[in-house]
Amino acid sequence: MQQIYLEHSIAEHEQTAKILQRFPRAHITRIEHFGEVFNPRAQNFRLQKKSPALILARKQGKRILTAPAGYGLGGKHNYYFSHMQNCAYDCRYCFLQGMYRSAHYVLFVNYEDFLADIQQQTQLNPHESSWFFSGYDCDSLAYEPVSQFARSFLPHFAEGPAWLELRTKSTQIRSLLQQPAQNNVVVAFSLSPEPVIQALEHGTPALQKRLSAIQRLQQHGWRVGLRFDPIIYDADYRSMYQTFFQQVFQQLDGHSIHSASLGAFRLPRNFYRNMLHLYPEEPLLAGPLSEHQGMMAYSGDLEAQLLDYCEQQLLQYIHTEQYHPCQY
Amino acid sequence: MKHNNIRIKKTATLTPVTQHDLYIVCALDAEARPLINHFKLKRLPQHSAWPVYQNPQGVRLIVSGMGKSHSAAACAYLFASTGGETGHGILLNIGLCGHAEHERGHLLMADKVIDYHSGQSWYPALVIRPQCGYTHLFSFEQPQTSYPAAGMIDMEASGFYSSAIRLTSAELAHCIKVVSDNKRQSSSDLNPALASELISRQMPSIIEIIQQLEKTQARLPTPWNRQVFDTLCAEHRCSVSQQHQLKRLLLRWQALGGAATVMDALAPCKSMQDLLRQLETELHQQSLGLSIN
Ligand code: SF4
Repeated sequence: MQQIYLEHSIAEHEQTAKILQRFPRAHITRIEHFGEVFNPRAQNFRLQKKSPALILARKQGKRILTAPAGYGLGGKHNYYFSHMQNCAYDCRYCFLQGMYRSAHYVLFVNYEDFLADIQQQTQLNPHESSWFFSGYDCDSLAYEPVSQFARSFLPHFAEGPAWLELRTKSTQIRSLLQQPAQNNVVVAFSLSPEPVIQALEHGTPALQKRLSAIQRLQQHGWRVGLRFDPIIYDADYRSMYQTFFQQVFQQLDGHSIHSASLGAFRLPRNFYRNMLHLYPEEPLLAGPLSEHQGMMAYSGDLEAQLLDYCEQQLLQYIHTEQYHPCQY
Repeated sequence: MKHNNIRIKKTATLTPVTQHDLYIVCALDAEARPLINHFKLKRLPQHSAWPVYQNPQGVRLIVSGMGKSHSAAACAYLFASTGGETGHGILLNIGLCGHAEHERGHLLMADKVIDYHSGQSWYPALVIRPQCGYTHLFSFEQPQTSYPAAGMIDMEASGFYSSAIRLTSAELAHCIKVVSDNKRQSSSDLNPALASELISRQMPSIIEIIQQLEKTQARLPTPWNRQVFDTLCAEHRCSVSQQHQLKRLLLRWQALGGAATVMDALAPCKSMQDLLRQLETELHQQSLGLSIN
């Protein structure tokens, strides 16, 4: 990391000190509020993505948000939170490119405030399951060596009753392997066929590496979920996804998976437009998409065909109770 | 209708016309001289408001005169009058500055540009790692005899930056300064020859910075092919909204590999409305053949 922006309010925070120690050669610029650097209009996500800066900040205001209807794994109360904005990976379909102007990583180091909010939220419904989803605005584990997010958060979920989902494509699982598995934590891996990874998920671990990481976590006792989202259209999608599901479930025991979900590639229209502006040469964005209720998605019945086919394949390997289609 | 020429031109989209897309604003002629010499810039006779220089490789320079407002106006003028494409050019303010501590001749870039009087500030996006390092740059209304701020001081940068950031993105707009005076060595002995000499000595580092910025700039998408668009617009009457739609569809066409068959299929179209409908259908068919393998 060459450039770090430091909010005055967290300059003395313990987490900040640990992070700064890792980057002794970084140039540090003090700022009042992360928005000064992160929000200005005249920034180019594509240009920044090659060499993003790290912004250490305090998350003010509402830290825990109610998840959209249809989001979740059957729990009564679903929330999401983001300790970080932006991601170490560079997936060409990622909505963050369309949502933010800046590709800098914003890391909110006031974990204690997130944890207090989670506890407070859980106490509102002490007898019903509350799920907290991380990895909405970032990958939950990709930046773990720096953020120590999982290492810091997991102990607070040890006593229950809240559930935590860590959404990731990363193989940075050391902090999970260094502590006992927890029953109320699901490590949810996003998986794609290797050709999709090669073409669109830049910088992410290969499928085989993700599968190996999953196996190690399972052997350690962690619950693992599989997220087949986004499903990407290809002229030859049937054979691509058939081979893919075979490969995944040759290595993993489908019935030992906590949950699996499927969702086709889709984007809010405004994010799509911004992404098209950034990557006009990207075939994915020139694909057979059309707008429906403010969302860009595969046109006509293409989306249904894709999902039906993949669902059929998936259900050969897992029980229907394990399956949660994405409905949002 | 002659669509044959359209087919050929799709390959032209990848050929850059110039080597550089660079706009430099200097306050004084003495600061500009080493740059004019290095890039072999020629003065353009048609510009009377400010001296404007250019070379055939796409480097443009303007001598703005001192002060924030001159710098802001000259920056906008240079960009507009030499055909800058918004969001694409590299815009630089290069010149001398004061700094309480740094030695005369020291090169620095700004990590934050601050208008000392209004307090308004800008953050150039630091996507390159220059040898010289970064520090804050404060712009004042008047020449300063002391060093009231912790960083570089000048009289132009905030004006330049406020203008530059409307024309390009923060990754490509920067202020590069050479220290001319400090607490120990005042600017009283500064003359045009010495000013040029100070910039000259740092030219290798300045060029290195420009090269790093050009590598960043090269990651921008290739400008789209206007030729096909212009030809189709010339052949069919079309409204502004149809032009937007056509541009959007042609960009898609380009992303899908610009297959000549799409253009052939448009040949029988009698109106722009027909053409847009047909193009949409053809592109949909073509995208169904998309293969990520
Ligand atoms: S891993 Fe997730 S958050 Fe990161 S770039 Fe890919 S889609 Fe976006």
